[in-house]
Amino acid sequence: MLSIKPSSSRWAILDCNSFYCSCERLFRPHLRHKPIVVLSNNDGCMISVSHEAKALGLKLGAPVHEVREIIRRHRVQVFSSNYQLYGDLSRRVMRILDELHPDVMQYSIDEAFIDFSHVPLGEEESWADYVCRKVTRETGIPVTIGIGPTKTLAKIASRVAKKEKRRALGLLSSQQIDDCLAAISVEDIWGIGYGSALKLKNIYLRTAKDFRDYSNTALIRSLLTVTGERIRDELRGIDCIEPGEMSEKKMITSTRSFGKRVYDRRELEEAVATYVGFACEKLRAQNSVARGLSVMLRTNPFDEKANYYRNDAQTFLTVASSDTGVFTAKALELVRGLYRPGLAYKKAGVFLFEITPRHEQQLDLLEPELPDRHGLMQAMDVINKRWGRGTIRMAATGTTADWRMLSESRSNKTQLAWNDLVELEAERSRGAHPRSSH
Amino acid sequence: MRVAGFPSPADEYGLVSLSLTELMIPRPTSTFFIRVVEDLAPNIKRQDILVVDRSLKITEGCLALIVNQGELCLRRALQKNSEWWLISLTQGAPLRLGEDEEAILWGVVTYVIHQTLK
Repeated sequence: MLSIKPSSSRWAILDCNSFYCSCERLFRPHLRHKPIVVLSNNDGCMISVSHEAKALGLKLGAPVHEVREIIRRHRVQVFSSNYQLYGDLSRRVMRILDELHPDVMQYSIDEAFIDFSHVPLGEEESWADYVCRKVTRETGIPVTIGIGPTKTLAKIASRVAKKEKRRALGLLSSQQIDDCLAAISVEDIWGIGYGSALKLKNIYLRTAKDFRDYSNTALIRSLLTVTGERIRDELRGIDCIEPGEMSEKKMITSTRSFGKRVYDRRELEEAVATYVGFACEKLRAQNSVARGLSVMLRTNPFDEKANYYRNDAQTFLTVASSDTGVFTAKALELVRGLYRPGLAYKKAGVFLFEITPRHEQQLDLLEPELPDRHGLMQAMDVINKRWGRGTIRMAATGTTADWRMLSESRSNKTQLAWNDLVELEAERSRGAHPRSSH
Repeated sequence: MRVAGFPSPADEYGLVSLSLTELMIPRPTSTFFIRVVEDLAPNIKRQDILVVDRSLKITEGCLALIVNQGELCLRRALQKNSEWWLISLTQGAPLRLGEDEEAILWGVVTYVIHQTLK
């Protein structure tokens, strides 16, 4: 029998439903109950998919050009992203939570953890329901709250709530938790990525319940590091993860389309070196180090006159690092291996993975310690923050930057500039409507 | 600034500077601005800005921004037999308010900002 330390803690996670889509709907009420998607601004991937669009088979993260037929046939509304609007609405949501609760931790643009330990026992769901109604009424953004003894269980509760179309759902009794974990597969647990899920399935742990009840701690630790062990403990009801340490992503990416076709290897190297700089900056900002590096290059897949080329390559450092110089040197080696002359490159990407918190950095006994330039890197970040991104950078990033992304046109209706407010016309046969910029 | 000579007798009243934001936007999280692009009523003209608060309940005689058939429009609220009706500012039939009815409340207009000097 498992000994589950009864935890007095209770956590709630508030999550905005299809957040970017909901923002686009706020001033366009005719889009309520209609399928809509929001695209990333440079590569045309769907970064928010409304519930109705999901029902048509549209998937988060997929490139929109692959589903053009569905979009045309079902008249799915497509938006490019308007981050000013999303940022404004996100701040409003977070501020309402702050006013209601002393202890709110924003976790991403559309999620926040709320310490529910002072909410009277048995009243968690009704209180959460009140919070949801208030946020939705005041901001117009529909939200869901999941509650559990730990953050990991709250995340699972939120997932179930969305599936069951409930505003608020608590996983609080051990019976509820048991039933629910048996129905959740390991890859759907917060913090368990695709690779970790495979490792768990290899030892026949398929559901969250299998994982929770598995007692070979040493094996879990060797497969998934100490983080995996803590995720398991959280499933057991032991509150032990801070949202900050579950870095928002298990992978840091910096990828962009070029504003023009790039043929020259030197220019590609400059672009990749710049992306390495951005990625390492993010890595240091979350106080982490990475061991894995992957670089991707591709040409334009829609160019019918030329053959499509896409390739990527990976490498691992012996010792995890966050040093821009270390990663730049490795990345440039990879670019040289991937580069094929004579092609018109459209996009490059840099991915850092095997990310761990800096203080857990494992030194390899066989490798002499790298001269770690953490101090230098921090100084670089401070200067760039103060004087603008790219003030100080690695020489490999060059000074031409012709490859930089062209800015796109997008809807500009926000609440942040007097000259692009939502517009109201006189009522005609059907009533006034905001002039849509689409 | 350094003050030389006699202290001003007004000093002890502190710095009095009125804030329009404080007056008109007591609840910034639920307040939105809408630009009027056509004359809607004798006192609501083209170029005016509506200050709309989503947190307020509808009250007798208030100006309400509502959604009718998927479109935003401005109406006057009146209560009749415990039901809310939304009266057109020009022509058009009254609409009944409710989640499943013809009109859904979007927000309550708290101020109309009108510039007199063009």
